[in-house]
Amino acid sequence: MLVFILCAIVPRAEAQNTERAITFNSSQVTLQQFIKQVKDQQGIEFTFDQDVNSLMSKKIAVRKKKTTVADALKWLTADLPLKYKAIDNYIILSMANAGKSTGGKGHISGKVADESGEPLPGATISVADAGVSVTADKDGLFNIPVSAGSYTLEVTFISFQKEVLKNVLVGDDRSASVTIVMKAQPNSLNEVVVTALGIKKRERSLGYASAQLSAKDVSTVPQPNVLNSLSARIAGVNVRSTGSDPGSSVMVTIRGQSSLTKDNQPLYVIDGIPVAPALQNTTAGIDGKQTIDYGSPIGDLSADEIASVTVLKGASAAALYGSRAGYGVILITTKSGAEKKGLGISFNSTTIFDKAYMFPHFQNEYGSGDSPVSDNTISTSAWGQRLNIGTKLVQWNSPVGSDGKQIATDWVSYPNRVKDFFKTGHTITNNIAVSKSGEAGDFRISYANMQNKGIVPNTDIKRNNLNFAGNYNLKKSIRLSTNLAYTNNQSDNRPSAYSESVTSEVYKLTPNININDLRNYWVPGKEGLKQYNPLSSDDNPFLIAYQETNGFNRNRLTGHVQLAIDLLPNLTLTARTGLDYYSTDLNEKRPFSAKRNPTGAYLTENDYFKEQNSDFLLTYKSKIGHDWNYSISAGGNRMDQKVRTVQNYTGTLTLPGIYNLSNAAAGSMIYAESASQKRINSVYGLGEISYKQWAFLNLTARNDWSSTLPAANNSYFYPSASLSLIASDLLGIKWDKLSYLKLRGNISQVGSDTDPYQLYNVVPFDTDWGSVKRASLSYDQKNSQLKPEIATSYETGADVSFFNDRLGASFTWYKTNNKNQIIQVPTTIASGASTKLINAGNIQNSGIELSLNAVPFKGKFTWRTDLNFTRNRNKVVSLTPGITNYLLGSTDGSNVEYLIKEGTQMGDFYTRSWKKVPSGPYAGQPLLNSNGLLQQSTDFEKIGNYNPDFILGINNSFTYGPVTMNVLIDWRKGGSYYSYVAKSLIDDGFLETTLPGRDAAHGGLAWTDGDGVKRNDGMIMPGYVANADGSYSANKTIIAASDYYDSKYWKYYQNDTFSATYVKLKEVSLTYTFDKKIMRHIPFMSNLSLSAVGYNLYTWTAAKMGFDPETTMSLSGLRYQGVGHWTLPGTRSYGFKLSANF
Amino acid sequence: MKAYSLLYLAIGAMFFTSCTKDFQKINTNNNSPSSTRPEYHFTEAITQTAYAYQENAFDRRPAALGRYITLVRNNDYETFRWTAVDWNDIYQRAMIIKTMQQEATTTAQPVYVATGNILMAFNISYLTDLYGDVPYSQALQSVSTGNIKPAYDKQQDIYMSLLQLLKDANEQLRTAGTGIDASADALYAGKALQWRKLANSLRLRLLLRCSKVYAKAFTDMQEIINNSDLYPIFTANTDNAEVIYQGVKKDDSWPGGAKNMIDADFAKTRASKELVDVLIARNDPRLAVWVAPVASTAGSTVDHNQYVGVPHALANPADYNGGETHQSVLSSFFRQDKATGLKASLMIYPEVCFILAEAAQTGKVTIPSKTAESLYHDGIEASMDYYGVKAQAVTQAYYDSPLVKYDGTQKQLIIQKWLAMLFRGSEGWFDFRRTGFPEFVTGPMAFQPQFPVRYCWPTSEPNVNNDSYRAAIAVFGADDINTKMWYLK
Repeated sequence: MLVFILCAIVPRAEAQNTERAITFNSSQVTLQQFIKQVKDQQGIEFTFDQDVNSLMSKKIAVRKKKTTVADALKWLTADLPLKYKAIDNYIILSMANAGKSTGGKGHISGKVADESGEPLPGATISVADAGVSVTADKDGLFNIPVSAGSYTLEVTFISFQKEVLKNVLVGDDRSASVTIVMKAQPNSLNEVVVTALGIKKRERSLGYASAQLSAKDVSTVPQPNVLNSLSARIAGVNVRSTGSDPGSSVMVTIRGQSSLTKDNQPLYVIDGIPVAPALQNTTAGIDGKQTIDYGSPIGDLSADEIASVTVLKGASAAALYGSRAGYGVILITTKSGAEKKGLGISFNSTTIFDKAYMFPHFQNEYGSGDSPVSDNTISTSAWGQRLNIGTKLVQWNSPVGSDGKQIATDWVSYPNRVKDFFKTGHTITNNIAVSKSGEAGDFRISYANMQNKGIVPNTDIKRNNLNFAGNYNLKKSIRLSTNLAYTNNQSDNRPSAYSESVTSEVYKLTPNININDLRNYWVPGKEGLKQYNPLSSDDNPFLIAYQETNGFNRNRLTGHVQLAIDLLPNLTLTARTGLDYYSTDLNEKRPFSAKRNPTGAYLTENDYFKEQNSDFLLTYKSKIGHDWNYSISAGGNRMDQKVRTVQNYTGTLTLPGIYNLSNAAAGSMIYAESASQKRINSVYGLGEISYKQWAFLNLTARNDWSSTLPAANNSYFYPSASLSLIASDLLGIKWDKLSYLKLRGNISQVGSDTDPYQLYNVVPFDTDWGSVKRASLSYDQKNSQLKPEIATSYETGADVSFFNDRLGASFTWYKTNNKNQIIQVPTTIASGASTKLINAGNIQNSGIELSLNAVPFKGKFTWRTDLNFTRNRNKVVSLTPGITNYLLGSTDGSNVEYLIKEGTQMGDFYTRSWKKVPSGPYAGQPLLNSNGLLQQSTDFEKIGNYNPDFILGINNSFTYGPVTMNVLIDWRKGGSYYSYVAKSLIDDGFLETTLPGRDAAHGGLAWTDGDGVKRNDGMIMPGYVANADGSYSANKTIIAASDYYDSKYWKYYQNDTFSATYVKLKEVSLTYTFDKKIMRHIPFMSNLSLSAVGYNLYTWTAAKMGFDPETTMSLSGLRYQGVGHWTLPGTRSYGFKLSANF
Repeated sequence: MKAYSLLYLAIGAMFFTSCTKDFQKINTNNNSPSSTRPEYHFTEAITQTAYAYQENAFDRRPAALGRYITLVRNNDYETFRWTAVDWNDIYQRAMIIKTMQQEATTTAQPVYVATGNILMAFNISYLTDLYGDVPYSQALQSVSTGNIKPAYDKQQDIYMSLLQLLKDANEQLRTAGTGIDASADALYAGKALQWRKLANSLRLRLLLRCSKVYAKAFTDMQEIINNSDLYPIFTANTDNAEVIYQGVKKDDSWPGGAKNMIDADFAKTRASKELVDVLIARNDPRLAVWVAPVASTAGSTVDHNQYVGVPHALANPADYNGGETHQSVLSSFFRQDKATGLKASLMIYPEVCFILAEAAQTGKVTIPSKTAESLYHDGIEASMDYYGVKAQAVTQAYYDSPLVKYDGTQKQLIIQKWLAMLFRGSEGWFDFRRTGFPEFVTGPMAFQPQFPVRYCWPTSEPNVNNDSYRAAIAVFGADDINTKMWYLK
């Protein structure tokens, strides 16, 4: 769209006396005659420069015999290179264009700048009517001498949209002054990008890959946790929601995991102010089994409040943020009132429904029991008798007859037992914002409300956001701005995950149980005291949902105040202080008769977090000569962080249903309190020097002083350098086909500190023993000699665009080495400590990021498609002398180990396999024991790695008239996960995969068991058994199907390990924007659009097990992700959104 | 204005950078003290040792291996389908004890060094009894010397060291036994004599354990027995080294109570056939104390008794005898958070009786005014007394019943010791692997035909202490549950 602000012709001031009449007698006069006649007829005196004398004999055409002095003077300026000024009774003549005599009689002068007001030197200004073309100078200024008349200007500049100014009027001896604001072409190099410290830069000057999301990207399909919108949209960024519930945490990994001990999460910066870490560890519930995800604090943001999100991926981009930026930075800019002139009101309303649809493939043919020949139907496993064949059996809820014996009831399956439990969840979000902008400044006030009901009965989230953003110009050179946000995020009950959670208890209902029989979860007459459940080994899932609640309430205040002063025209000082403060109250309740808490339990926790950042930045911009521009900034920051947690807990209530700490049984209270603080002082400087707008060198340096490191090592310095070359400009390529070509590269370092209190061990108290104090020990040995960590990274890449941006590509290669990591090396507890804190390691991540964008159709129907490809390779280059193996973590006891070895990748996991035939013709085949069962070998084998081979995001946008459709696809290839759930469900005979062998119809063999019972569920484990003579022969021992599956899956974890490959239809939206013509008839409303939206609509998985690999993986170990646990089933979400502007 | 701006900048820069002097204060952890009083660690070491040892004994491998219980679900313990067992808690306690001893040295309270040695010997002996060779002489040095890869010591060397440690502790407490904080002493309320009795009784346990290969075992025993003033030992149940259960919090409640064990886990824990049959055959009054009768005898298929123990490692243990209603669970006596008569035992008097009885039976040790038979009788009687059925045993003429009446065999003696040591450490299993009594059977679904004789070293050892681990295998033998340790060879 063409934007220009001003096209003004400025008339010269004219004195009254020039209106007097004058008469000429000839058709032309010399200048000398002209002066004489004016003087003679009207008594007006002329004064003029000496130069003008040379024109005295030049002729002036008389256009009109009788005219005014003023008109006559115009002839003078039109025919001769003169200008005049009339003052009182004098007319001053001077040369119009001293030294330059082009023969032109007028001028078009002006300035070319981009949308941010930055001049665009080198822009071409063509005046076709005059056959003139000039380029703008270093300040973006130009001046074209032309004859009087009306002209059309065409302004072109690489990667900007062509600007055409029509009807530029130039009078005789007049200057037409114009200001041309050029709009960057989409995707072009001149896009203004928010970079570190909130500094806005043009994309062309960046020596690193940058990625930005617009408000549209995040709010068209508004996700309750806005981070989900990053998924599949940005190359190099791996976004993983850790649960299908809208309140789940979201994990973001940029360019791979590089830290062995930290969570590898990026730093989040909202409007220039760093905020709380996005991830919190899930909390183990008070029963010690269920785990509760209280959500990422970053999820407190409302999608409708976001103006843009910038991802700083590499160390170079992030270096200025220091210590915490080692894993990238996500800069979030919220909306301000400046976006719209005058008064603006906007309203958005979204309703989304969540439906669980992705379940493990349950079998419905066999009921509860340990074997098909047993009448015992009270078992946690489903190896029992065949269902739905007309038999009757005594079951868990069989009524008692008059003879006191239970009466057999129909032995049938309830295939909907799982589906019937989950409800359709919904999320309703409303957002209203009022903004006003004027000369003195602008403001924006908004309120957002989000209400969610989860798919698990009785779970919810309620969120209220109140935001104020204001800018006020005290003077033109002093600007004050602020942004304040208050958020309340609250839930009466969050769904739990992992063992003994709702999901686990629902999934583990045997097929003969009708879940609807469990809805009344109290034993009649014993409400509040005794739960009604089929098996004492498991809680009734409805009891968990309605009585085992996990609530939280978080009040959060974020905001900043900023002052910017232009001390000199080129020198600006910005000073700012910002705060992120929140306080979270958690409470967890467990009723009487809960399996783990027979007399109830109650926990309260208060988490307090405060981080304050104060900083200043002094920026000087100037130029050297015509082609060189530079800017230098220097600044400093102080970061103060305080964290405090108080927890009170009782595992025994005296009265049921009273959730108050004073109801705790005497002596049963357990208290825990911890507080920590840290400070980082920093100074930094950055400089940019550019040549002719096609070569840019950016340098940064930062020094941090961290309170967490020992005094001798607490200061650390790290620099970065990045170079950007606009090769297309450099080489003067101005083809139509190649719009631009940019080459970039950088090298940088980021230093990092550690957590507070890592230098010296302390002695923690244990719980009281009766009335006696006890002191425990910490087995994590601290280290008073720690040094800062240093990550060094290299990055290079190119951006290219063809056919006026109809086709573009961006390529980046990077390599990062994270050295000197402060890691807790696991040591044998026999040494008295189970870990030791040391500096060690060199973890390398290298990878490529490739983005392609194309506009195959443009016009009434427009199709735009973007592809993002990410491939990261991790390598453990070295650990530390003497330690070549590092245990990142383990799961399922210590049976699956996430082990790091030099030369391998982080994310590898290992387990013990089965014994194999050592030699002979059957070498490598399973070596079974005399019972025909697999035997565990002692050595650990690698069975997988949880990292994907690559991630591909495909984003398509189709526009036809007022209708726009967006489709976002997320494809992750490779990686694997070990599923604790599959192991459990297979071992207990719940899955369809356990049907083969159960009876003759399913291929079961006839056999006689140890009790002499003839059965048809025989199976033979493939493998060999050792003979007495040392030879091996094929196993022929028939075992029960249940033993077969138990033997194969319970201890052999590689059989429970699956491919994590999936393709997800991540987001779909169909938006109808009402035409302006229609809008004119609706009072007050200027803009109205309606969208149908959906996310996670379909997921294809390579494993085909009914688990969503994205959300099934556990969050408990942030650093090792390949564990499939009892998480909520995969959901699909769909709904609609209404947006209106007034 | 320019001059001002430079001034502001200078002030700003000073403000931001010069203040590292607060850093030490900011980075000081005020949540916990940097050192504490030895008595805080003393209570910790005693209670943690006793509770963990008792928990092991009641619901972990030792209970299943001692053949006291049969699990009808998840019965990997008794089918010997094992993976390695971690030893974290034992070394953690050892480190607490070592820290306590250092604090005691600093604060000149040597009595905690001596009692600490007894607790250390107790923990380390349990460790080596389970695993064989383990890190010992170089252990617990991460903090002091930075050694994070301690070598494994031979069991023989460890035993000699522990025996000496106990002997020294007895001597230290004899000469300087005052100053134990009575309230912190969860075992003996500050009575040094009791601690000495424990030290010497423990020496007896260790000496008998290694008596097959340690030539001086019986002479050392004899020395103890001959000098009861110098080496006092347990002489009554009042000497028992036991910690009470508070029954208030999970971590201070009996492991079988509702706070620590869910209903289903208690229900799946059945009395073993070995235990019930032995008790029934002897008409033992402890049967009713320990074992619950079946819900119904009508419908029992193979065992029609009121009390039905379940055999081990069956294919479908839950179906045994016609189903779970025809099998005996443990009695409600074991289903309490804080039960009278249930304490966390490190060592009890009946064990000392049986140790001495066995020593006397060999003829290599003589006990003044006692015989093997009288000691055998004392042991049974002390156990009956412990469970409150002393009088009942007399009424039922228990001691005269054919299977109980002393016959001079080790088998009979060990069976009685096995009963008396129900859920006491791993003693049932340890005595079985040492003597072969009682004659346990492996069961049809057992993964191997022989009984395991040790735990495998923790899975993490090859990762965190590989060189020492490999060296230990070279000396000790394969890291396998069937590799015999020094004193079993």
